[in-house]
This record gives sequence, structure tokens and C-alpha cells, in this order.
Amino acid sequence: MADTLVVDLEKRFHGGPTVRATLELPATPGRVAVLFGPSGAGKTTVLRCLAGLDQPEHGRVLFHGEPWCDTSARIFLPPQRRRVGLLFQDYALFPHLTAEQNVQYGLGALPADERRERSRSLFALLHLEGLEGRRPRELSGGQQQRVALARALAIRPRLLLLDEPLSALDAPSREHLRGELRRLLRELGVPTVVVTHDRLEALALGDDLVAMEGGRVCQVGPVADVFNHPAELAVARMTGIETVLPGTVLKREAGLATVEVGPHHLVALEPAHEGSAVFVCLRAEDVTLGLPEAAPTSARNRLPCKVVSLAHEGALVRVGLDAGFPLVARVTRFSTEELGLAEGRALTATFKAPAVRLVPRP
Amino acid sequence: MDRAAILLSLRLAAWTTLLLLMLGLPLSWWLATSRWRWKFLVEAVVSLPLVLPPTVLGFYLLLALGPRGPLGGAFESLFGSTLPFSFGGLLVASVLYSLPFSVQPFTAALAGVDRRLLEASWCLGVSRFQTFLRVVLPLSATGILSGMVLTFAHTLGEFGVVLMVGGNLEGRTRTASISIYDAVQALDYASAGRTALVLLVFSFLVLALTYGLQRRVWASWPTRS
Repeated sequence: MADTLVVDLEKRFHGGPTVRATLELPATPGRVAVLFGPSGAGKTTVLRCLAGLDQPEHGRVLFHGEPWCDTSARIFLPPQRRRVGLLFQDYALFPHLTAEQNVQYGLGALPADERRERSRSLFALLHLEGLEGRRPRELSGGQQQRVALARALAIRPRLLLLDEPLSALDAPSREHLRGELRRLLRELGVPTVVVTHDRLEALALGDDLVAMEGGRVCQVGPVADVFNHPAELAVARMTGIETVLPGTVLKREAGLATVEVGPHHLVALEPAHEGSAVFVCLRAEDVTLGLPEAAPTSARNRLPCKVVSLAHEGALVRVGLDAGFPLVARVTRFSTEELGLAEGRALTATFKAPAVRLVPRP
Repeated sequence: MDRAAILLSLRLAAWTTLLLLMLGLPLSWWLATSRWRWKFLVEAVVSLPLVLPPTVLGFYLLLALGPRGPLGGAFESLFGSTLPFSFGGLLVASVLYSLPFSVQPFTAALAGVDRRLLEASWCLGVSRFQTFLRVVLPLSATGILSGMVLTFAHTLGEFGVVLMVGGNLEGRTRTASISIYDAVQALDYASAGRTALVLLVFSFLVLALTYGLQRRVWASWPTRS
């Protein structure tokens, strides 16, 4: 209870969808939770309710046991009194102030020398030295982002909220800043909530993941758990599992399950849930391709298949296959050449039983 | 040239501008941010002086400000003097007549300030009023200034309302525009011409200044894509 962030709210939009979010997250120093989902999932609404910029119709927000909002007790703490550092998607820097004035903006109550000291240390921490006198329009996207982050950090926030922190940047800087931001968030030791629709960002930044879709929370848990064990199909789609097929569990035996998918029987680890109707989820990275005559390996699932499509993705190649059902594999370019991959080529696709995730099918 | 009338016009315009800055800013802020469903009615009322003949506005004002009117009665019991045919009455009329000339530019300027900047400010612990002073006002300064200039210039050129409510008392309610009319009626074209030229040149300078300022709009708030 003590070091948690509890959200249980309902927010209706006029003529729009209703967001219902119930979640409890550890909010310890340096811990990062990611609100993840497609646009329109309600992630930003939850973030705005955390900041106090939106007021839910029903529900409550508790931070470290302190009610920030509780509609039943008519408690609503305005944003001024929550001390949250909010980083807007487009940074929302004050255009008429310099970078330094932006960072010092929220420090009006402090004596001048302390204000200067605090902004100096933030400029150093975020590698912004020399940019103090620049106006926002004279800064690059990455620099603006860091100034906005410094401004949010200057008030020593109890909770840091980042709304799509990298989406306004171009692809190369995004990749570079992902790692840097993660390191920084760890260093800062402020509990953080990040909103993103980007799978890589979620993986790179988050300790905990809240998967949202259509205004509701689908799954909450440590990032790896959610990615590896999606509780439902919507989450599997979001986390980018390329192959999702309807299947039927035929038998369960010694911790393994035999699943019928199209013309094949696949072996998977026995799912925790009852019922035979499942979705079979398979990541492209887990599928190994070999020649049809290759010797057997330890992988339990071997499917003869044909190459349908090839798409280059940097160092990797996404291979679309027909194994009686559509299947996607991702291999290195080197393997593509070694195997002589081309459309129509006959191959064997292999994958291990634990790589097959079974998700209950309604 | 009627110096007293020109000075009176300038004094009236200055006071009107000041009052409309004080009354118009809160009203404009409300218009720019409110989501009240009947807001459009208020907008319509504010804009009425743009389309009403000055005589209509003047007529109602005369009724309202007169000793038997609601406003005039209260004013008389408070201050012991009547509003019509006095500088005070003129000022009330000018404020109402110039209302759209300040409120419309003010509202446009205030509405142009990105709402997220306000939210960013609130999250940084700064109160709504302080946010207005530190973010909204600096970012809408040119729009507010042009509203003030328009109000000033419009009040200088007022005729019908002033005549209805203020009459034509030399030194008290005879403004420049009325003085010109008077001079023309008296066939004193030379005096009318001089006063008119002063008004023309002054109004042109004021408007040129306004549009000159507007050309240099802040081009720096976050672009919306």
C-alpha cells in the first residue's frame, strides 16, 4: 500500500468513449511503469488524471496512500498541489522564455541563488550546458525534450509522467535517446509513468507494463511477463506477436499440450487455463528455418512450408511462409543467403514447444 | 481648430481604453476558455454595437442612465449627480459602444495561447492567476495591444452615441467629432477642416502602428501539426 500508485477511475468523454482503468503499480524510486496500447486506448486520459488535469467522473487515485482524487469523498487535489513532473508529447515549452527561464519557471518560491543552482545542476545532468540563453525555437527537438524534462524535474517531482516522450523525434535520435532515457530515469530515482504506443519504447523503458485497449486495462505486470504471457489476444496483438492462429487443444499430458492448428499438430507447454479453444501465438524471432532434409533437432515442432514473401528489415529479413496456415519467421540476412531463400522455396520451420504461447480464445 | 474638443476626445478615448482593458480582459478570458453552452448569447451581446445604429444604443443608454432609469437612479443616489450629458455618462456609453473592439481582439489573442502551456504551468505548481500573468499575457501581448489601439481609435471617432448621451456641452461633452459637425453646421469650414485633419492623421498613425505590430506576431508557440 505504502509505495504504490493505485488508480481506479472512470472518465467519460462527451460523445466519445469511456475510459475505465483499474490498476495498482509499485511506485518506488526509479521504477518505470509503461501505459501501453494503440492510440485511443485511454492511456493519455489516465496520465492526465494522474496529473490532475482531468477529473474522473468516478473513482480514485492514491499515491503512496495519499488520496489525490477520490470522488466518493469529494477529494480532488489540483495539479499545483500534486508535485508531478509532466513531460508533454510536444514538450510545451514556454516560447517567450529562455531555456533557463523555462527550467526555473516552477521555482518561484525559492531564493534566486538556489534557483540558479538547481537549474545549473539540471543543465549539467542533461548535457544542456551552453544552451541556457536559447529560446525553445532555437533548440533542436532532442534539446527541447531535455529542457522540458529539466523543467519537470526542477520542482523535485514525487511522480514523473512522460507522454509519448520520444514520438516527436526523428527515428535516429529516437533510437539513441531510448537507451539514454532509460538510464536517466533509473538515475533520477523518481517513480515514473510513461505513455507510449511504441512496443520498443515500452520494452526499453518499462519495468511494469499496463496494456490498454479501447478504454480499458487488459493486463498489468512486469514487462517481460506481459510480453511473454499475454493474457488475451488484444495484448498479444499489441506486443507484436506476428503469428496468431486459432487452434484447439487436443490433449494435455505431462505438462505438454497438443494443439491442432490447420493441418498440423503442435506441441506447446500446457496452458494454465481450462478450455480447448485457444489462440496460438508465435513470435517471428522464435521460428528457425532449415532445409527440408535437415537432421532433426530438439525442437518439438517441425513444419514443412513454402516461402511466400521476403521483406528486408535492416539486418533482418521477415519471411512470410505457408505451412498450411500463414506463419512468419525473422532471420538474419546471412541466413537468407545461405539457405537461398526465394519465393516458392520449400523449407522446414522449427520452433520449440515453450515458444508456442496459448491464449484463451473466447 | 477646437483644442478643447480634441483634448476631451483623447481623454475619453484613454479612459475608455483603460476601463475596457480592466473589464474586457476577464470577459475575453472567459469567452476564450469557457465551454458553457449558452456562451454564444454572450458573444452576440458583446458584438451588438458593431451592427446597431449608434442612435439605438444611445436611446437605450439614455433611458437606462437617466434619473428614472435603473443605472442612473443608483448613480444619482450614490454620487448626487446625473450621468446623461456628463463625462461619466459619456464614458459609460463609450465603454459599451467600443466593447467589441476590445473584446474581440482580446479573445482571439487569448484563445491563441496553447492550452498545454497553461497545463504545464499548473503542473509546475503555479496558480491559475499567476499563470495568466506569466504565460498568457506575454504570449498574447500584441493582440491585446492591438485591441487597445482599436478601442482608442474607435472611441476617438465616435459620434452618434456621444451625441445622444452626452449632448453638445462645450468642454464637458463636446468631442472632436461633434465639434466638426457643429463647425460645418455653422459654415466654419476652416475650423472643421483643421479638427478633421488632426483626427484623420492621428487615426491613421494609430492604425498603421497597430498593423505594423501585428506583422511581427510571435511565431514561436509550439506548432500544431
